[in-house]
Formats: sequence, C-alpha cells, structure tokens
Amino acid sequence: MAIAHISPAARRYGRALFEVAQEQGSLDSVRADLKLLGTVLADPETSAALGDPRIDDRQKRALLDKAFGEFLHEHTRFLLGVLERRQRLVLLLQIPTAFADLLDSHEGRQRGVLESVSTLSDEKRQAVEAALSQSTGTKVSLETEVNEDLLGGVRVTLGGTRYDGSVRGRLDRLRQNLENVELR
Amino acid sequence: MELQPSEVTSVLKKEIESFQTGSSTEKVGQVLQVGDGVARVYGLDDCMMSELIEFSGGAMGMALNLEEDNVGCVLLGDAASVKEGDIVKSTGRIISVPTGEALLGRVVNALGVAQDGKGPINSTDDDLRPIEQDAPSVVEREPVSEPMASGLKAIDAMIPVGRGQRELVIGDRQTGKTAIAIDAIINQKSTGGGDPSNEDQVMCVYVAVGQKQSTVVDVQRKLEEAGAMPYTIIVNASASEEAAMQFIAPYAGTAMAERFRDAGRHVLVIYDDLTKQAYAYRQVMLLLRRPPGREAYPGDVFNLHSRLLERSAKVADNAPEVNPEKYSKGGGSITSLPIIETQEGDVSAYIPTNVISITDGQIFLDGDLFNSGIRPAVNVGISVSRVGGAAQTPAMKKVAGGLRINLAQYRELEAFAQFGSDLDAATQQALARGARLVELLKQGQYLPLENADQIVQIFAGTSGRLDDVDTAKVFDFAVGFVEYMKSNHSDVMDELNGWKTKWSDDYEAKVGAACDAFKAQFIA
Repeated sequence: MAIAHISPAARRYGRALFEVAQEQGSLDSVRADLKLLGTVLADPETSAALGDPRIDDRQKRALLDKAFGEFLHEHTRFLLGVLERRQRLVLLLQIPTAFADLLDSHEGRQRGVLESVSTLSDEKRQAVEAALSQSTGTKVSLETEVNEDLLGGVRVTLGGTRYDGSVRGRLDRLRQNLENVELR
Repeated sequence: MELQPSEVTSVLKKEIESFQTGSSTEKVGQVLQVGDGVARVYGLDDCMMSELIEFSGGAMGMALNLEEDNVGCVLLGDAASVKEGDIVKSTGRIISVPTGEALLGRVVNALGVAQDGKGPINSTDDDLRPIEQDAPSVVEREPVSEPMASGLKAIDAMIPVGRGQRELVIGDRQTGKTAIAIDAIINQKSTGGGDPSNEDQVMCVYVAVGQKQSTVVDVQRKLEEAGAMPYTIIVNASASEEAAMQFIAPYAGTAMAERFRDAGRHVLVIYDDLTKQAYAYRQVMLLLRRPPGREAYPGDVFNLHSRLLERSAKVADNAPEVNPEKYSKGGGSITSLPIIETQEGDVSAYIPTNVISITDGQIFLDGDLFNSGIRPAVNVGISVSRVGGAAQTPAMKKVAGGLRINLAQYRELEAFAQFGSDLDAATQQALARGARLVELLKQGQYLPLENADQIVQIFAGTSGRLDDVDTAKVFDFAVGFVEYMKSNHSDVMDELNGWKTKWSDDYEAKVGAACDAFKAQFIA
C-alpha cells in the first residue's frame, strides 16, 4: 500500500534531521545511513525488539551503537542520542520513511504503487512512470504489485490520488450508473 | 413501480454502448483508526468540510475535522463494516438530502432514506439539497405578520406565535412538550384542509432526535389518525442511531422545509428535541478530540443551534427579485418550535439559556402545573412571545388583552385564598375570576380549537360571565358554549375565524347576549 501513515512526531524528527544535514552538507551520508537503518529495521524481529517496552531505551541505544556505531555519520548518531534521551527510540521505525518523503519532495520525486493482474515488465512500468511524470510534473517512480481482483488493466495510486484504469473499476462504475438509472 | 423488460434492455444497451475504456481519477485515503462512530482517515488531501465520504465497505461518513495530515470524520450508517486500513474515497459532494413533495407523509432518516416500509423516496438528483444552507439575508426577510395558530387557547391568547417565528417549548420531562407540538401540527389541517396541493396549507416537518422509536411510532399514528400525515414529514434519528445522524437530523429537516419556503409556502418545523441533539454533538466532538468547554460541550455549541434556528424566517414578497436563484416565489416562511428538556426546571443551564437567547420567546411548561391537572401546563408568568403580538388576530388581541393581567393578579393573591370569606370583595372577585380563567385555559390533547372557538370562550371568561359558574363546570360550559354558537350564530363564528376581523362593539353585544342566553340554559 502506497499510503503509509507516519506519526507527526516522526515527521518532525525527520524534518529536523533533514534540515541539519542540508545546512551542514551531510545530506548524502545521512541519506545512506537512514537507508541502511530502514533496511535493517524492516526486519520484523528487529523492529519488534525496538518497539518492545520491556527493553529500556538505553539498552536499545547501546545495541544500535554496537551494531552501526562506526558506520554512521555523526548527525545520525546525534539523532539516536536525542531519541534515547527523549525516550522516543521507537520513532526510529518511521523516521527513515519520513526522511525519504522529505527528500523526495525536495528533489521533486513522487513514489506510488502500480497494481496489475500479472507481473508487469520493466518497460511497461517505465512507460507508465514516464506518462505520469509528464502529467504531474514530478519524477514518478512506481513499485509494482500484483492484484488479481482488478481482472485487467492497471491501477496507480500516487500520493492521495488513484488513477483507475482497471476492468474492475470500470465494472463498478457501470454498476453505479445502472443503479442510478431512473425507470419511468 | 412497474418494470418493462424492453425498457431495461434499452437502458442496458445505452450503458454498454457508452462503456468507456478510459480511466477515472479519484482522491483516496486510508482508515487509520476507527471506533465509537468516528474514524480518522489519512490522505484525502482535497477533502471539503462536511463532505460525504465513502468507505470501501459501503458505509458513508461526513468529514468534520480537517487536519494537517488526516481527516476526522463521523460515520453515518453501518459503522461495524469499517475497518482499519480500509480505502476511503471522497465523493466531492457536501452532504445532501432529498427534498420536495415526495417526502410528504413519509418517515425518513437524517439522510432522507425511507424508514416507513413504503418503498424508496421517489426523488431525483435535482431534489437533493445540502443540509447546511445559508439563512435568508436581511433584504430577503420581512417582519412576522401572519399568525401560526397552535389551536391551544393558552398559547394563541397569551403567547401568540407568528409565521417565521422561532418559539422555544421548554420544560422538564413529562410536561407535555411533544403534545403541544403535535397539537400544533394537527391544527395546521385547518389552514388548507390537509391537502398539500392547496397553496394555503401549512406544511409540517417533525424532526425526532434521540427519541425512543416507540414514541416516534406513536406520534406517526396520532398524526395519521388526525389526518395530518399528508402534509407532514417525519425526520427520525432515534436513540439507537449513530450520534452523527442525531446531530445532522435537524439540519436535514430544515433543508426539506426550505424547499417549500423558497417556493412561497409556509412550513412549521418541530425539533424534538435540541437537548438530545446537543448531547449527540458533544459526543461526536469529544470523540473527534475537539477541546471541551462548559459542561464538556464544544465551543461552537451555541453556533450549532443559532445557525439552525436562523434558517427559520419569514421571506419577503419581493425576495425572488433580490435572489432569483434561491426563491421561486416570495412570502414563504419557516416557523420553528424547538423543544428543550430541562432538568428539575433549571432553565439557567447551558443549553436552555443558549436556546432561550436565540429564539423569539419561550413557552415554559411547568411540572407542578401539569401534576395539578392544568394541561397544557403553560406557566404564563415566564412564557413570552417577543414578536408574535404583531401576528395575533385583532379580535383575539382585544378579547385576550386582560387575560395575562387577570392571571397575574390571581397568582399573586392565590396564597390568600385559604382565608376565604375574611377577604375583601375585590380580592374575592379577583380570585374567583382567576380560578375560572385557569379552568378555561385547560384543553384536551389532540383537540385544537379554531380561532373563533377560542375567542368566544375567552370572551366569556374575561367579560366576567363565568364568575358565577361553578369552577368545576367551567370546562363543560366552554365546550357547550362553542357548540351553541356554532348552531345558533354560525355567521358570527365564520366572521371571527377570519384573520382580519376586528372585535367591534357589535360582536361584543352579540356574543355577550348569546353567552347570557346560553348561561341561563346551562345553569337551569
């Protein structure tokens, strides 16, 4: 699902980190750090451990430091410190996404989901991306997903907008039109 | 509705021919949190206030809180089908209800969906009106001038209500608030014979908010028995429905009434009751996490009622010239009788004071009066009508002029009544008069009286002709006197029923003589 909810707190930490990195010119290394953190924390066991209220934030921080300590840029390490002090380390699960969103809008990119009945080839995906990029004026990148409910055609969800070109959508609209027909 | 197979085929054919291969774009969001009849939706960037939104399970909702990255909305209808993670679509439509003559005689819910098992409401998209509308502007209005007769002596004589007025009916539970409203609806039958196609017929909308379903059924049956349903719409948001439905029901009912008002018709709207609407609103707003204020009501609870009641108005005759888009004919009106239930007679609580200050007067019903057998239990001392005087019929105004003062004197002296014969003659006379007037103002339920009937009865009382009739027999006397007048002086009664008839010395002599003649017969 393309629409992921990020808590306002995670957004705020993400924005703060982004602004610091931008001002101090460390955007590239911080971006790499967060990508790494995002990938590691996507693992269900790791994320469960980070969200576990029985482990206190000092221990979590120590573990994170041990695992990544020397690889991380100092700004990212500072973020971990601030989160620990404020007992908000659990937000680290959402901060990479919030940061990526900011980076996307900064660089004029938009991410979305392309749903189809069968797996789409890369060329087709790129064709859709190009078409959408042109109509929205941003660089659109799409993830593909298989959804057999669609019956045929494609459906794109980009931001809060859904472009529905699927057979399912057309049948739904047909049904709605027929329901609204007035018989005299 | 009869279905022709050939018709169905042609419709299908047309639809299939125009079956487009194109795509659609829509705004979507996702349910973050749902419970207690409210949902928080992420996304829906371009959502409008009060927009109708559709959940993937088929339930509908109304957007009420537009926040930075989410939309707070209330669920209308089947709340159990909404789950976290559901896709939500915005419809681009402000919440609307069907309006028009198709609704007359029907019982509908707050979204205008039929509830009475008589099939769907036969209306088109053109009949839809948003439930929130602007009130008529200053130039589109005109002062109240025509009477909205309730058929109750105590009200029409002392607290007259005019067409376009907002008159609050306030009192504790079980004091006859709904009874007054029902009598007023039944009495409107006399305006146009109960035929909605008659231009003079006053239409009625009864909005039941948070009532027991059985009470609503009872009201519907009573109106049907009295032949009042053909010109009445019942909007029902009963206690079992979602709080959101209860809070929008009065707006929906008003939107239905406005359709008639804007076409130059007169409408009577009953909101039964606004206390429960405020409860429902408080519940919804607290669940949406709006900050609570006094008595935990949100800060805009005053506006909740004021914007509703401002829509009741008397429209000027030249309104179509000012605003041709809105008004097809001028001179229409909405009269509203909002009902407020008090606790232990406390009219100084938050919601009662708000609504008292919004309305053009109040009819206060007193539990003690009710229990001592004075029904309708109108407490004349603290009931007022701020604009209705201008709308009272001239004959009634003249005849009932002394009524209020007589009753006030009576109440003042009532405490001395136990001294009996030790009192001076003037006091005894005032007490005797007052006791008979109180008797005279009693009236049975579902028995509204015409203007002339009320005038002659009150004349009998205020002219002192009842002073020597036994108090216990005053009620019978009044009923008998009206019968007598109708059979012997029907010309006078017909004239007095007219709105414009002035009370002349001629009438005074005629009705006085008839009253004396009847009294001789009655006492004998």
